[in-house]
Amino acid sequence: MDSPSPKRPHAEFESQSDDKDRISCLPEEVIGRILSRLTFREAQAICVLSGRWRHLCTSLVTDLDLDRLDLSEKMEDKPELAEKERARYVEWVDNVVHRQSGGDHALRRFALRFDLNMSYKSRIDRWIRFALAKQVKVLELDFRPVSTEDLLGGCLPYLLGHETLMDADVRCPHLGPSISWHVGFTYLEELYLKRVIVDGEFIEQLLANCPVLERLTLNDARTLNRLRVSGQSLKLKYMRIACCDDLEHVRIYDTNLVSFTFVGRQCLLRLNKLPQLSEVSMDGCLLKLVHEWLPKLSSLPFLQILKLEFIYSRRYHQRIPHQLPKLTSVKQLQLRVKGTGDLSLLPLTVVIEACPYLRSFVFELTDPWWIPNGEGRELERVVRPLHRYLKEVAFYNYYGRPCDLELVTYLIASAIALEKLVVNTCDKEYVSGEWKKLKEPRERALQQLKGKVPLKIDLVIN
Amino acid sequence: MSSSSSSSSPSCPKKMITLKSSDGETFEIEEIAALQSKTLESMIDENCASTPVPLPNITGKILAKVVEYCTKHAEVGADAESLRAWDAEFVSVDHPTLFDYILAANFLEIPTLLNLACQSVADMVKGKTPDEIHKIFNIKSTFTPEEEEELRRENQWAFD
Repeated sequence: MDSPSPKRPHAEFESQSDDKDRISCLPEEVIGRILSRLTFREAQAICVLSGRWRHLCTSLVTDLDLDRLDLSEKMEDKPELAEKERARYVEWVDNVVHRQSGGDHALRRFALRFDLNMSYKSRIDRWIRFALAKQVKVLELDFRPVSTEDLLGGCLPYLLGHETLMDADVRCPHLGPSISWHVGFTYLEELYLKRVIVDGEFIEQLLANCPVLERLTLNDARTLNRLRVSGQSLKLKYMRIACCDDLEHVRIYDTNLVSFTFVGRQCLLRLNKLPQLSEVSMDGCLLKLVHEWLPKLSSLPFLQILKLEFIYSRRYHQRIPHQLPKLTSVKQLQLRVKGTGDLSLLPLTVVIEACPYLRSFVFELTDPWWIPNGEGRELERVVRPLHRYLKEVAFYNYYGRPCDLELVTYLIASAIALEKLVVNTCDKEYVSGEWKKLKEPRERALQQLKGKVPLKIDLVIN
Repeated sequence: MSSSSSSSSPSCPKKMITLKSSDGETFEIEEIAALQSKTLESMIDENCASTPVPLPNITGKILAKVVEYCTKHAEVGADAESLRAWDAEFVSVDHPTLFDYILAANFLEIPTLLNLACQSVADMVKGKTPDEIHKIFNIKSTFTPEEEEELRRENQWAFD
């Protein structure tokens, strides 16, 4: 007999021959605990084994995670196979929904994660109404396409709109949209949409009609052009907008948002009267960030955590401003920089300077490749006001290039209150389709920094 | 073996309570360790734990291990990494013992032990097909062969 789990080499198995089905005799609340530690698919494996387990699955499972994204690779660029898998996915979901419709316990989470599109609208609508009828708290639709062709616009994505909330039998065209809202929306706390078409007005009405909606993510919402989030009565606290390529105008004002994340290239952002907004993350074009978006943030009086991510290349190098409006409330700054080569990172210190009361700074390089050529270059310096409150600095993926050392040297010199410097070195690189371990960055870091940093700074090199 | 207790003076004797298993064995456990069991905690609060506490549904063999678990988890200053390793070793036992741990932890309301043992069972189920699970746990099917066949067909794809 083979071991049920490779982690348990000492387990004895004589017990398996004594014929007792002890797991089925456990108290229901214990079974509930075990099932809650399994994904829905894993729980299904045990629940098809007996009537009791099927009943337990229906009544105790509260998270329906219908995720078959693992099939994406198999389906990629094979349209006929992909259609077959879609048909099977739909049949599977139909069965699960049918089984679960019987019980009267509420659902906590309902997630559909598969490459589905507009052709399946009527089924998807039905499934969403099922979930709402079950008072679901977390609703997730992730319909990311598997093929590049579809990704670039070949296939029409599923559209979530008012029709989803109306029963097929209802014929009341004269009633306004506000009347048709499914009662289930009163329980919705979190909504994640990926590759789903929604329009700005629908989102606005959704926010107005969901009394407890706290989290909203819109990812790859094609055709979404304008978005407005405002109102003191809204419960929305966390919002993430990513890769909505047609989005031109986002206005968030007079509401109690706590955290906002934006990933995108071109967009007009207006953020005003947001007294609770303490965390902002932005991933976009560096120039857009520094010239347009960052200045807007200075009107947020309580912004504490700022995270920025961008590509850094020669194209931007010369066009970074020398000064930015001050963000006086920011205490934590994180820069995640995508770029290779040995381009000086010092122009980016303008962002650090814009946060005069900064306490903690994190700098992460994503792919810092560089081929050293002989001597290396002379390190540049930049003169900026001293940082009086910056106490902690952490580097991720330090590579040991002159530009990396240049930036660390700058921080050591200008952060006069610096207490802790953590340098995590790059320990692997992706070469010819696989990850290769690296030792040189750590060796360079040790050679460049160990013993060369003022004693009062606690230096940690990983 | 010395484990620190909350008493201020080192010469103060540690408060112990006595537990009695279903087969008559008695075990001493420090009160601090016993507090991890909500059942024992409320008994201690109401002063009902001065005489041996009878636990008619837990055998001596299992009770000894439960006492060991609670004592280990009441230790101050243990680092998380080594405690995790200790826990993993603790649940590396045969199935009947694991289920006995679950029932004991459920009865005594020890959430950490209950979660640990339930996670262990969940880990055994993860990634297995229905046939494999059936073999491991001997789950008795109540379906007719036709029903079973239909169910398998219906769900086959989910396990591909």
